[in-house]
Amino acid sequence: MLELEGLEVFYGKAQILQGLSLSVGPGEVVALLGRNGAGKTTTLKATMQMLPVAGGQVRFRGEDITGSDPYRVARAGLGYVPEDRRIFTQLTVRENLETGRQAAREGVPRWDEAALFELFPNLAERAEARGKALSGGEQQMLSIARTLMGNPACLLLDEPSEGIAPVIVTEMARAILRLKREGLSVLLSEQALPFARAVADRVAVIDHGRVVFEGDFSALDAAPEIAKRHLAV
Amino acid sequence: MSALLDVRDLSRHYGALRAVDGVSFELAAGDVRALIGPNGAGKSTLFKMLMGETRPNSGEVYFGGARITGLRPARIVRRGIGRTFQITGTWASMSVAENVQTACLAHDGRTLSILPYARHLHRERAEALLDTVGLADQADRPAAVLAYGDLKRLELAIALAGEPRLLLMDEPTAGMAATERTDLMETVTRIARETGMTILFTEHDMDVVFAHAERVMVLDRGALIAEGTPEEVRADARVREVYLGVGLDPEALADA
Amino acid sequence: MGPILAQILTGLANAGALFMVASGLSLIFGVTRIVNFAHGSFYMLGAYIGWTLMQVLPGSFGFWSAILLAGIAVGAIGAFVEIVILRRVYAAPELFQLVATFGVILIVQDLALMIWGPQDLLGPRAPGLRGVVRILGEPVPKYDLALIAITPLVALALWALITRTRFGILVRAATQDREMVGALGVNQRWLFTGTFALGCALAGLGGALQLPKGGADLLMDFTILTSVFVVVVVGGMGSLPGAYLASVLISVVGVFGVTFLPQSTLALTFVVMVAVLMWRPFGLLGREEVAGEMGQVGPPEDPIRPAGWPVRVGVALALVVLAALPLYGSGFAVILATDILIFCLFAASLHFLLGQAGLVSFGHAAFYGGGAYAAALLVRHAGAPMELALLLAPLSAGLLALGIGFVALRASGVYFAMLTLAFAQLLWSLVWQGGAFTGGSDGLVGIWPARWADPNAIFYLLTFALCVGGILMLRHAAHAPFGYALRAARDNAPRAAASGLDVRRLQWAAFTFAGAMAGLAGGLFVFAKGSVFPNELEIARSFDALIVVFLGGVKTLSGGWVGGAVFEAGVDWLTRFEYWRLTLGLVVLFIVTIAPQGIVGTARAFWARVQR
Repeated sequence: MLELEGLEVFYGKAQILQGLSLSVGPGEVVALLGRNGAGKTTTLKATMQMLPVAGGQVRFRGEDITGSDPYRVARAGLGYVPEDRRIFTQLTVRENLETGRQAAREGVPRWDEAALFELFPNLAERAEARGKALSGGEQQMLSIARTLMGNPACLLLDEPSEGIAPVIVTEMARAILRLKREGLSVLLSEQALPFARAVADRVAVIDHGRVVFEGDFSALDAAPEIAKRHLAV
Repeated sequence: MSALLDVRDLSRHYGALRAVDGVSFELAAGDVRALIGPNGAGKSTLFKMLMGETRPNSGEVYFGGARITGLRPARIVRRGIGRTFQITGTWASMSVAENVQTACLAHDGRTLSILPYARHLHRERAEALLDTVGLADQADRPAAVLAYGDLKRLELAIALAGEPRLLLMDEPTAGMAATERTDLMETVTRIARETGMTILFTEHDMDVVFAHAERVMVLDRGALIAEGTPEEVRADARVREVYLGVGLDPEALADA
Repeated sequence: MGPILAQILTGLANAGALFMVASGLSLIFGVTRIVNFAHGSFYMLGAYIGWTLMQVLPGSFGFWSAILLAGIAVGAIGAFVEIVILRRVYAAPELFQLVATFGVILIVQDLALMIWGPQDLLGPRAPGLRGVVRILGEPVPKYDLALIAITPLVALALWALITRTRFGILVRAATQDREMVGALGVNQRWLFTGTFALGCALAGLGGALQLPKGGADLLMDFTILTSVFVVVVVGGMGSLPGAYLASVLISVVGVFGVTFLPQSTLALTFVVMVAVLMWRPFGLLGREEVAGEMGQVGPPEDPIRPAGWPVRVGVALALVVLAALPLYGSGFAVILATDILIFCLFAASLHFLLGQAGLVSFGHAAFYGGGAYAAALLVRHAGAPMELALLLAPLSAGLLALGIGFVALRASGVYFAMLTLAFAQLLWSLVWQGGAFTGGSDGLVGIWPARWADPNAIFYLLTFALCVGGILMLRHAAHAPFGYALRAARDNAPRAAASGLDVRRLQWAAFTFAGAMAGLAGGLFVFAKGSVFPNELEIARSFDALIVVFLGGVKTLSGGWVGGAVFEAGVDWLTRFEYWRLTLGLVVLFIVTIAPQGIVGTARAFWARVQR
C-alpha cells in the first residue's frame, strides 16, 4: 500500500530523516513510535510531500509520488490528519467536512456526512457549530472526519492521542479500530506505547531519523532495551 | 496563616458558554497541586484569569493577601506569579543563556536601557538557573536548535528568573517521552521543596499527575467537581465518568 | 431634512467603488496573505480600460458592457500578475511580497502614462441616467441612485459566493490554513489565482463604475489606497459586511465633511477611524486572528553578536576613507554621498523597527517628512538657527511617533501597518492643505544651513557625523537590554508578557525611537536640499524605505544602511530615464524573484557556500 524507501529530509542544515524506510500493507495499522524530535511528524509530512524530500522515494499503491504536489498526493488517496488538528475554526462542522470532500474511489471504503456522524456521534450534535466552539477532543474527531471525506485508501495520523483527556483517548482508539475493520490502512505516529498497543498491528521505532526497530508487539516486548533506549520508557 | 492564593467564586462567560463558573479554591505556600479535566473544561481560561490575561466576569483573586483581580499581567508577574505555556514559550532568536538573561532583565525592569551590552548582564545568575534545570552545558547554543525536552527546561529557567512565589504550568510534560516527563517533574518539585515555591499545573498524563501532585482538583464544564489526594480523585465515580474513562484495555475496546 | 438626505445618498453612492476595492483587497489578503498594494493600480486600470471601451461601445448597452468588460479584463490582468510574479514569491518572506506588489504599482503607473497620457480623462455620462431626480426638493443624480442600487447587489452576490458555494468554503478555509487545504486535496494554485483574479476584477469594476462621477487620472491609485486601508481597518479585515458598513460610514462622513468642514475632510475620517479602533481594535466586524503575524517569518535568525575587533577596525578604516571624501571626490560625489547618508539613516531607522520590534510600518515617511517639516517650519516661522532646528527635528518626529504609536499600536499585524500608512497620508494632506503656513504644494524653500556649515564639504561632514552616529546608535540598541526585550516581545509575545515585559510599551518606545531617528534624517534633508515639499511625506517615500529594508535584508543588522546606499545610488541613476518607474519596477521584481533574502542575506548565504 505505502512504501517509504531511504527517505532523506533536511530542515535548514539539519538532516531530520536519514534514510528512513518503512512499509504499510493493505488493511494494516502501523504505529510509528519515537521520542519528540525523532522525526515522526517529519516522516508523515514528507510522505504527504509537504516537505521537500532530498533523497529516497515514496511509493503509494505502486506509484512513485515523490516530488508531486501535496494536493495530488491527497487526490491519489492518501489522507493526512495533522498533529495539532488544524481544523478551520471559523467554519462550521459541516463546512469543515466539505473542505475534505473528494470523489469516491474504487476499492476503498466510501464516506459521507451521515456515515461520519455515525462514527463520531458527538459531531452530529454539533453539525452547525463553528470549529472554535468544539472541545479539543471534538476537534480531533472533526480533523479525522474531514480527512475521511476524501475517501482515502490510507490514513496518516499524527499523534492522535496527544493532549487529549483519557476518556476521549479511548474513543479515538475505538474509532481507529473501526477504520481498520472497514479495511483502511493506517500509519500513525505516537509517543504513548499503551495507545499504540491498543490499536496497531505492528510498530516501527524511529530515532534520529532512522528506523531502529520494526516488528510486532511481542517482538518489541522481547527486546526491552529498544523501548528503554529509543523511547525512554 | 492565610493562603498564598485565594480564588473566590471566579467566573468567566462567553455568551452562553460558561467557560469558568464559580470556581473557588486556596493554595498554601509550598503546595504542589494538579488541575485536571476534559479538553475545554476551562483550565486555560482559569490560568488566563489568574495571570490577568483575561478579566473575570465576577469573583476575586487574592495573592499574598492582596487583591489582584483586574491588574495587568505585567503587574501580576511582579507580585510573584509566573507561568509556563503548553506550547513551549522561548525566544528563538537568542542563545539559551540570553533567553534567561533577558528574563532577568525583565525582572529587574531595565528593559528600556540602550547603553550597556546586554550579554554581559546577569550572566552568572542565568548560568546558575540553567544549572538548576540541567542545561548548563548548552548555555551558548541558539535556543532554536534545542531538543524539545530541553526547550521545556529552558522555559522553566525563564519562568524561574522572575523569582515567582507561585508557578502556573500548563501541560508541562506534553509531548515528552516517559522518562523525560519524570525528570522534568522531579526537577520542578525539587525546586518547589527547596525554595517554598507553590505549583499549580494542568496535565493529561495521569502517571505524572498521580506521581507528582500532592492534591488534585478536577474541573468539568467550568466547575470544580472534585478535589483531594490522588487516591481520592482516582476513586471518584464522577471523575471516572467525565474524565478518566475506561482506559485502553482490550475489553474496554471490544465493542468498537 | 432634504439636504441631509441628499448628503447621505451621495455618501451611499460614493461607497460603491470603495466597497468593491476594499472587499477585493480583503479577499486577497485572506487567502494569499498578501497586502496587495497594487490594488489601487487595478482600480485605476479598471477606470482607464472602462473609459476606452466606452469610447468604442455605443449606447446604454455599450456603457454597461464596458463596465463589465473592464472588470473582466482587470481580473485577467490580475490572474496574469499572480501567475507570473506572485507565484514565485509565495514561498519568500511575507513582506517581500509587498515589495513585489509595489513593483507592480510602478510598472502600471508608467504603462498607464504611456498608453493614456498624462491628462485627466473625463468620464462619460451614463446613457439614460444623465439627469437628476428631485428628492425632498434636493437634486440627486440618477446615476447616484443606480450606484446605490448596484452596490448592495454586488455585495450580496459576493456574500452568497463566499458563504454558499464550495469555492467560498475553500476560500475561507484557506484564509485560516492554506497548507492544510492543500493536504486535503485542493489545488491551492488554482484557488490563489482564482481569488486574486476575483479581487482584481472587483477593483476594476469599482474603477469603471465610478467613471461618470470621478473620471480617470494617474493619481487615483494612491488616492483610493488610503481610503481603502481606512475602510478595511474600520470594517475589519476579512469581513464583507464590515467592508460594506465601513465604506458607507467613511463615505457619508466624507460627504458631510466636505459640506461642513471643508478644510479637514480627511481629519474627520480619521477621527471616526480612531474612535472605532479605540472601541474595537480589530474593526467593527473584524476578528483578532485575521490580523496575521507580520514581520518575522521563516526560521529564526541566529543570535546576534557584537562585531569582533577585526571587523571594527575594518569599519573604522572604511569610515575614515568615507569621511575624507571631500578631499578626493568631485563636488557631485560629495552631494550624492550626503543624500545617500541621509537616506541610509532613514532606512536604518525603519529597519530597526522592523527587524528588532517586528513592527511593519507602511508610513515611516510621516516621521522623515515630519522631521523635515518641523525643521523647515522652525526656520521659516520662528527664525530658528540650523543647530536648534536639527535638534528639534528628531524631537518633533519622536513626539509625532509617540502620538501615532499610541493609536496604531492598539492594533497589530496588518492592521497596524495600514494604520501607519493612513496616518502618514493624513499628515501629507494636512501639509498639502496647510496654505501659507506649510506652503502647500509649493513647499517651503530657501532653508539653508548656518553659514559655517554652508560649504558642501562641511555640511557633508556634519551629515556624516550625525548619520553614522545615528546608525551606530540604532545598531548598538540591538545589543542593549532594549534590543533583547524587543526581540523577546517579537519572538514570543505571550512569553514576554508572562516574564513581566510590557510588550505594548516596549513597542511604543521602539516606534518613538525609530521615528526620532527618521526625523533627524528628515531635518538633515531639508538643509541639504534647501527646501522641502509634501512629497517627502508621500506613500511613495514610505515605500522607498520599505523596499530598501527588504533589498538589504530584514534579518540582518546591516540590511538597512546597505540597502539604503544601493537604492539611493540606483535611483539617482535611474531617474535620468523618461520611464524610470517602469525600469525601477522591473528591477524590483527581478530582485524579488532572484534574491529573496536581500542583499546582505544573499551575500551571507553566498559566503557560507564559499566557506563550505
